[in-house]
Amino acid sequence: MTSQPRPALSGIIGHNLPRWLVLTLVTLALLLLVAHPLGWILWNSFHDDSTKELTLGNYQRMFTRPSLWIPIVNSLLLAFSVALFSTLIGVPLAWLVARTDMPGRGFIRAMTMTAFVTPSFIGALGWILLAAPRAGWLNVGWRNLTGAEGQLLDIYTMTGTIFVCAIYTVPYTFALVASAFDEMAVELEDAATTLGAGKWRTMLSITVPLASPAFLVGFILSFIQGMTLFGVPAFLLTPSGTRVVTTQLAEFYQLFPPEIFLAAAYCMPLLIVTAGLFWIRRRILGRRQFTTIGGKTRRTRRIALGARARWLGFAFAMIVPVTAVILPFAALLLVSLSKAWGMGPVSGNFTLDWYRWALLENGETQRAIVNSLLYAGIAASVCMLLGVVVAYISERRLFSGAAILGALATTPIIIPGIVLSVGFFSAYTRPPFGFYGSAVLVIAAFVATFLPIAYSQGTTTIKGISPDLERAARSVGAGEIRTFLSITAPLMRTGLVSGWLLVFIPIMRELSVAIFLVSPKTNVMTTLIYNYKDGGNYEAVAATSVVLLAGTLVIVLLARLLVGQGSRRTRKTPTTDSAA
Amino acid sequence: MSDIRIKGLNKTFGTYQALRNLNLDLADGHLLALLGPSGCGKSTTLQMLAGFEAPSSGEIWAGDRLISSPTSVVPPEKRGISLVFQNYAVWPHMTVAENIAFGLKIRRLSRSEVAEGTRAALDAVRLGQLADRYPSELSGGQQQRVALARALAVRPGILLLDEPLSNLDAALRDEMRFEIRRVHDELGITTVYVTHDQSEALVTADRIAVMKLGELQQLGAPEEVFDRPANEFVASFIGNNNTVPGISAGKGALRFGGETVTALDRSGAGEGGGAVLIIRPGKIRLYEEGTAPAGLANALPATVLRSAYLGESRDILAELATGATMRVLVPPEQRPAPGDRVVLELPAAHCQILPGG
Repeated sequence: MTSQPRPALSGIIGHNLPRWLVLTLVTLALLLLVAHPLGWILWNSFHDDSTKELTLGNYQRMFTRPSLWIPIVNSLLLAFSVALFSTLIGVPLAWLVARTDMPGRGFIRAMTMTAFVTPSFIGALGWILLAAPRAGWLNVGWRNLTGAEGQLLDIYTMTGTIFVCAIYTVPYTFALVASAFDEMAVELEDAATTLGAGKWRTMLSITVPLASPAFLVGFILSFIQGMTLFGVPAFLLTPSGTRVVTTQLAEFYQLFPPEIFLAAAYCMPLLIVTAGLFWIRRRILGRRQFTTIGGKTRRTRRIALGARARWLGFAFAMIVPVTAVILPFAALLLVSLSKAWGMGPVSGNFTLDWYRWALLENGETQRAIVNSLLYAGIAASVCMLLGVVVAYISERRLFSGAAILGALATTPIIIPGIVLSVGFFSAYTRPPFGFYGSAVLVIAAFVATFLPIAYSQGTTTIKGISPDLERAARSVGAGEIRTFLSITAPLMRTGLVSGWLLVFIPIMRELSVAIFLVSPKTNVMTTLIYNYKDGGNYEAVAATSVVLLAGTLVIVLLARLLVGQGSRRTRKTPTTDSAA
Repeated sequence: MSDIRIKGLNKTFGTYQALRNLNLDLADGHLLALLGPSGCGKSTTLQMLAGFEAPSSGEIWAGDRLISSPTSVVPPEKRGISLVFQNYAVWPHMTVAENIAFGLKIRRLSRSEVAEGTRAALDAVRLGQLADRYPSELSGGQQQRVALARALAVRPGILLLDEPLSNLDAALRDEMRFEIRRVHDELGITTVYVTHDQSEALVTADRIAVMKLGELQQLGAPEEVFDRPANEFVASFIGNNNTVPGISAGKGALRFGGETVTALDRSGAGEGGGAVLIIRPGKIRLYEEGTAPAGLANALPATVLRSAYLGESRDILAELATGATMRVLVPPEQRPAPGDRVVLELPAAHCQILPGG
């Protein structure tokens, strides 16, 4: 109990000591995870690999050597095509599922979400098994049926790559647009209907324009996806010698000696394009925030398509389930159960050997499974903790300039995984760190990559908790830390669990971040599959992929059950009202 | 228990001045209502009393303890000041009893003391049978009682109420304001009650501070503020007074065009100066043209613009010859229609002349 005012400075530091401690730790972590690797990329890009001297030569070479600028053009072509096709498929798909009486809507939604959690490079593997020019089953079947010589499909082409990238990018567009349709207040449409607009007129004048920012954002995210994917082009384009930016980056590391400084410069086009696109996305979302202005959440009204159009729509909606899930999953499963891929799915070809090999006999796969689960578990936990603390600090404005921390935590969203990998390699494999080959390096890179997801999940969760709930605790005598532990943390639990899963699942399937950072000891499942594929043993690759896919799907399902139950009790309570 | 002294309090947010030079004393055990429209600075004052905001200048004293100044703010948890929120802020993950026990547990009381304190607070707001419910199972009024019990359980020296009834429906609001007064009378805790509703303030408060745009307009007992408003703003905010501008015709007389009205003069305006006549709508008598008794004093001719039936009375809007309008509440038996010529009698005992705005 103070009866006299304390001197200003010691007063502030005094009862704020825990605050300053947390702030220092968080700032340090963000600097190490985000600013430090980025700083090294920038620094390295201006230095020469052999002479170590300051130079602009890397940038100069990038734009004068055709072998270096052609991949950039290829990447832009790939990205644009992927964005175009995933928008052309994803937007109508979302509309059919969210707004019409098309049959099988629940099934289509579930299958699209399955495609969402499928790592695209595993999809590419499936499609190699289906449409490799010689041994691909679709081509073999075609030759057997028609007696033709050549092949029906060749997946090792730019077209094949665009196709595979697009079908695994559609779910992003779908999710964005479908939720825009789902969340739209039905009153906005009813208002048009009561003024005499028919259903289709309402759809075209009200519903579609209101959802259109989601189309644009979906296009942009698909473009970024097409720019930054590594696994699919590595599997499908590298065999024919075609390179994109990401596979060219990997190339620099495989040279001897590796051209790490040139690689740093080569990250810049990727970084600039993604940063620019995210800036545009923010402009769009910032200007058109009315999209999701909701009313009471009532069921939306569906458009009756009519008998023929319903099934036509269904056929269209089956494109993604068939091409992204059913066909490649079936191919992977069948090949993983075959003695040899080339013999085809016939009865004498059946074996469980590859699974016995992967799960019981081979130390490499066993270690990779453990590593994947362990790294993903630790990284997701650290990521969520950091993300939530930063979100809390910046959302409650505990410090002036707290917004800077939030900006730092969001920055990795513009950094493609492969670029972050380059940055972590540069920053932490040299003295004083020397982390090469250690688990810490891989985990830290995962944390940095998914920090934006954790941060935005944390922000959403904290926004749902009125600051008055905390002030109420303060006013009956609880200090800041006690308030956070007794009030804020328990109320955030559901949000934290689902946020943790939103980070855990993508880490499990992440390839490009880990690719330069793993060693034989720290291989995770994705990098192991990537390495095995290079060895050409497709049956083993298929079996390992099926294990990863099955594991991921089981975790997703368990998670849904868990989160679904956890959110039930406190759902009804109005915690978001805030005083005027 | 303690008194509150606010000295020269200012608060600015950037360039916006939310509070200007507020001076206020509240005696120990009294209930003060901070009354005003939104943006008047009442919530800012409350936030500073609770310790969530630091003043830009000025001081707040609780008893002999300086709790807020620009250089030193005692943190909220160390003030012994409880706050009840407009949106209840009842913790949804705790039962009613857990909500109330929280503050007692913070004080490291023994198990039996916590149980006893919780029980007493529950009884004080008559919620004993709901102790094990979760907030989501309670009505808004019950949640508000939990919030009140939680604030009272820690035996605060000062209790702050931030528009505690504005999220309740009308019937419950009436009941709860008596409830708040009853609890205050029982416990005698010094209380500051923020509201924009004049009837809440009149029912509950010992003292009312009327505020506008960050400035204190009048501080006084409810009767004082209601009967003798300090200025035009207070007059129109409390009691829905008509405020009609006129020209002073000497002390105690105000001229509207050709007519003169006599009234209690508190304007200090010299003859020919501008001043404002205030009178409550229910105090005006209305006569159809030609039915007014001869020699009626303080009578003004007017034209009816609007007539609305309110059940207990009829709400008439009438226009004077000067173009000013007045609201008049008449018995429902009187049925003037829009366009009718009428005479309004303003009894001198209910008229006051205030300085012109």
